Amino acid sequence: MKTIDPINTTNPNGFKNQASAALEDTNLQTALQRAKSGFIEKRKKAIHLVDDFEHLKTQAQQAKQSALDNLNHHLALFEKNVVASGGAVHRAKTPAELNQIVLKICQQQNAKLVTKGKSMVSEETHLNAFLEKHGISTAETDLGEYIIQLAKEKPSHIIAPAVHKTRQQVAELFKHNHELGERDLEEIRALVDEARAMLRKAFLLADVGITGANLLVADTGSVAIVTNEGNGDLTATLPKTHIVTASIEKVVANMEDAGKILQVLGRSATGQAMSTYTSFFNGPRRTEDLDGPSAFHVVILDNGRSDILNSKYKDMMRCIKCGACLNHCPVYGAVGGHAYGDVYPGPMGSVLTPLMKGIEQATPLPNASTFCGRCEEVCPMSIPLPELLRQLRNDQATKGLAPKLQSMALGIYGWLARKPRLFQLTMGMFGRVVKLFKVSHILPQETPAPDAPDTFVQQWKKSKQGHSENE
Amino acid sequence: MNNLEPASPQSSAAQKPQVALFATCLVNTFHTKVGFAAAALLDAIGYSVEVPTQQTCCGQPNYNNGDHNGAITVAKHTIETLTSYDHVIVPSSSCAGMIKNHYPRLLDAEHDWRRKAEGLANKTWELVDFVYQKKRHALPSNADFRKTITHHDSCSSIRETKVTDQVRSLIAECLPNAHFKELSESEACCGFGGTFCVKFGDIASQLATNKITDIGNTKADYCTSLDSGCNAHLNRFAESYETVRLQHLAVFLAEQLNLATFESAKD
Amino acid sequence: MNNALINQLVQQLKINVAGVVCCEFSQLPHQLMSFFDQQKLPKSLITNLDLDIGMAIEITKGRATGDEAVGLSQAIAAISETGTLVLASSASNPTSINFLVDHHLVLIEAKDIVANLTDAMNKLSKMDAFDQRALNFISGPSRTADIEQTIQLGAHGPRNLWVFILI
Repeated sequence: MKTIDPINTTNPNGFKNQASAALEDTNLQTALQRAKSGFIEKRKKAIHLVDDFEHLKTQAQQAKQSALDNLNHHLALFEKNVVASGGAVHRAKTPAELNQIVLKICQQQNAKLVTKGKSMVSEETHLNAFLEKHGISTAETDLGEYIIQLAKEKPSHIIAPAVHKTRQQVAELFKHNHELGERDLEEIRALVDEARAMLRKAFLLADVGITGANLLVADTGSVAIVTNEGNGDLTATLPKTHIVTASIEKVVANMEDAGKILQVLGRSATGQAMSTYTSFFNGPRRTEDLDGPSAFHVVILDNGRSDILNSKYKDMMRCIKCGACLNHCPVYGAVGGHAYGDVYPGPMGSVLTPLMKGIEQATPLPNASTFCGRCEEVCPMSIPLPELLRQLRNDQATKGLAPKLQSMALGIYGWLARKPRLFQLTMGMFGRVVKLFKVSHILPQETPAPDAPDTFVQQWKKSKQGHSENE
Repeated sequence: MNNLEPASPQSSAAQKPQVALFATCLVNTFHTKVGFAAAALLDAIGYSVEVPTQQTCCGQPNYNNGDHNGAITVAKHTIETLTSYDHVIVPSSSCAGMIKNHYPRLLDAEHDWRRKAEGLANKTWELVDFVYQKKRHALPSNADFRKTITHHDSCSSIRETKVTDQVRSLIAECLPNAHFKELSESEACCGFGGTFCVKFGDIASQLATNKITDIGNTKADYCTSLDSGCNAHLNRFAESYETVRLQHLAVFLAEQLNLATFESAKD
Repeated sequence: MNNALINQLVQQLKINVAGVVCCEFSQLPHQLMSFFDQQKLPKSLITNLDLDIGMAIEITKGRATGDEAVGLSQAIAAISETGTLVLASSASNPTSINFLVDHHLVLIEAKDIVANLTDAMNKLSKMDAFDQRALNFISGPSRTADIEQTIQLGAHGPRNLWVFILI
């Protein structure tokens, strides 16, 4: 059985081959089918229970957009309030800077073990590998992230990192990596219990806990995380130091706006009105607290985002990383996340990856879309994803990155389309050629055989000429 | 929403109101039957059909493949071809959507052209929507048709022209004894996507297979659709399902309602 | 006492697979004893609340360490629409209890129930709740769907959530 190699699919330019491999991977196809129907149905149910979801969306979009429109002001306010509560804020322009900042904090604490809640920003910067290189062990604690950490893979979905794995594959990983002797890992229950037991030790022993952030609230200097497992909270609460890795566009003005975004986030992502645990961290422990970290650091990453905010692609920064676009995309649904070759897959990844890495680093991605429009339809932030992808295709062509044959063909076709008589003659001839050479492999396979030698316009003209003038 | 503008001065009460039929390049080159079926439907509900000979393409191939400037020139040509008509009818949600939703945006930088684009957008209709909204009662019905139909909602029909309920209602009114079965995943893309199916053929094949399986599971005798692109793409895989015939809804209705003008056009 | 809010909270908590009991404060010791009896658990719990709930239950004061099966906290608000409890970290409510124990018992006074998230944010603002280190909005026992999209309760946080609505 052919499989896609999830460890070596790290090149967005390899999308076509990676996608082909994914289509032949029967385990992956089974997993994708299950995931897709689950996510789509859950979201539909959750939205159905709301009187006016469009209204909630509009409110959330306004909250997000007003924050983006005044980003620097809100970031400054956020920093001021974190510092006032006893924490620290660090700004990182690049992934390398973020990694250095985090390393320095860990080294100052003589940290040997770090627990991690899910953070896509940390995936962007390859933080784990960097820390490991410097002798610091990292333990991913989100079950999906833990599974792929064992497998040495990257996440294939921004909400459900191990969505591409079957339970048998997970059982194999646990048997191989946990030295626990003979035991039955047939049932998912047993797998979850085993992960719970293994990771409990890490939670209790960790020197530093690193989480991501779903929101950074400026008015209160709060960091919000949205989880179901409780791992994020254990990571944030138990170690002496809590580090948050987040990106600049996570900032919102105040708690009211945070609430508005939360009302669409869970429903769009997992079909939950509220996740099991939505937590706000407002700095280090207070004098009267019996627990909580004594050091609280927020590292905020730019990585090209302020440039995007100043470009025609700025709508993309409204993304709240819910994953709804992935779940409804026919292409993602067919090939999964690894085929995209980078941190962010699916429609949002097909816009973000070229913008953050450079168009020439990810040329297939904006083209791997049928423009069905389902992503835009389900996006709680109404991001015009198909239009952004279309603009990226324009940018590619302008930069000479489109296939030469395609550009030529389009040029000729566009010219012909302004010369009606020549157009009809050419299309009529083209139609005849297709009919004659039906199996020719120089023509795209999709080309059907025409149902008549003349074009419709030619046929109509001829038939009209036969009609009386009284018609 | 479209405004029904008053008939142009040339047509008197004794003459039928006129519409322009914009065939679309796919219909024009490959599925010409759809053009004749569209004309027959329009004739049946009392419109005289003109096929402007200057028509070529709506410009989507250039628009969707990075040739923004090429798309603009084609759009301008199409606007000029169609602007003088009261109603423009398009037997494709994809192309109708291009004209209605994307032309104004495409020509946004030139004020006059934007205005013309908006004018055309306001009087352009997807075919079935026009028939349904205007004079569907004028269509004959066929109570003897008792077979099973399903319908493939193209992505453009769902999200660009929003012609979905109209299809079900029209079928129910014209073929009252037909059995209509919904697909289990009517919102899923068939994988055509214009040049997508050429560039990413194996993904497109997978999506088509999924859709054909869904269609096959309904055990329908016919599967209709409003877009010839989807039909061309799906027909490649439909041979494995002998029982189902994929047809544009216009052709299906023209045949099942025995529209006279359609029959004679074929001869 | 807004019965509609209480009823909705009870309903939602049950949907979220949490245990729910409504009782007057004077009944709390008896309800807690019932809980231990029904669950067949040793009668001991960790809490830093100052509560007189009788001598029959062995109470350890302090934060959770990971060795405790049952922990007791008090929520400062609840949201009926989503079946959510809001817990603020404080001397009497160490956060570790919310996440390390197997059975998390939470007290909520009926007067502190609000209808929706917007109302909750307003109430919390007025209470200066964001001055505390952490605010946890808890809507059920811990869960995950990371393996084959199948929901399993008791991922890393508590396996069970038991709510005592004090009317």
